Amino acid sequence: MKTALTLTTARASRRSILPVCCMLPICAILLGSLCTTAFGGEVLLTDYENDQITAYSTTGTLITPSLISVSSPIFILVSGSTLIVSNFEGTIGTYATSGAAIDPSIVTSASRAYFSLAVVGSNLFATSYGDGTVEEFTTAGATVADPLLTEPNGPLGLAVVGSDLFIANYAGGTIDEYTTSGTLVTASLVTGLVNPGYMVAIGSDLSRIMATTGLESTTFRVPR
Amino acid sequence: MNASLITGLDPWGITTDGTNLFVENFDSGVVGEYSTSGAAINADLFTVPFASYDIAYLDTGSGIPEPGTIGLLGLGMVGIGLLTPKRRRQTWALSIRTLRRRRL
Repeated sequence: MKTALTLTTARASRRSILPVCCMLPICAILLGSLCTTAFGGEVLLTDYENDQITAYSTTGTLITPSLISVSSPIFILVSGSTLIVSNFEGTIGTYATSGAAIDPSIVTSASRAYFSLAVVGSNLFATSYGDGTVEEFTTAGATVADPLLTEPNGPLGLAVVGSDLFIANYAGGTIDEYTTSGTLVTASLVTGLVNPGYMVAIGSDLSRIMATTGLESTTFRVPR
Repeated sequence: MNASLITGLDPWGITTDGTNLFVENFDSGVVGEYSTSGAAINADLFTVPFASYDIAYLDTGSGIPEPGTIGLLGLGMVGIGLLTPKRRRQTWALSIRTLRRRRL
């Protein structure tokens, strides 16, 4: 009787320990999953010499040498779960983040190369450095305005903050501001730059637009 | 305007992960990471063997598994493995107890 009681007590304590023991490996797996997701992110680069888009981790590990195979890529834009790529042959194409082509030629032009792209809502804006224009398409590639506006000093970089477009004029050394309907808001918002190029806006903070310049070898912040 | 946020570069492409800047140098192929105030986090993050016009950040939400992740997953599997024989022993012990009760 005494032995049976002892055995019952031992079993009861084992039962109470068992859920705790089960929790440990489950917690370890969950923690592991968290560690995996915490460092998500890839850096994609256009490799126009080898006709591809290459993916690296943010720590510099080569992930996919040829994520997308595309002729002479210039610019790549991440828009939600879609990658939009322009090339020197006047084509704009859409791809999944896996690299699979959705539509590799939503826009084709025999005379233009689109150096920079931006999406606002369901519309796509593209700078055409060669003929000094900015075009507007739907994200499916249908023409909305051709051209939306004219910038004779070589429009290259394009950034969107709110409902305004900021355009860097590579040859003119200025940054101009327009509404997405093409109305000029501020001409020469920034002047005196040497070959301003690509730009990036961080969030909706107008004071946090960064641009690169060529000859000055400088990355700078655009004021507002 | 901060006209010299980051200097000494040959920048072309620029992107952000929402917190930091990644700047790609056209001629050298060096990709550097900087804070938005211009401080270098790693000015020589990695070098690509080609000239690139643009760089973009893609939030995949599931990066490359860290070594610690694999270790933790392994630990979890070992834990599950160790628990399995205990359950069998318990079942076996219960069977013996049932037999004893029948004899009684």
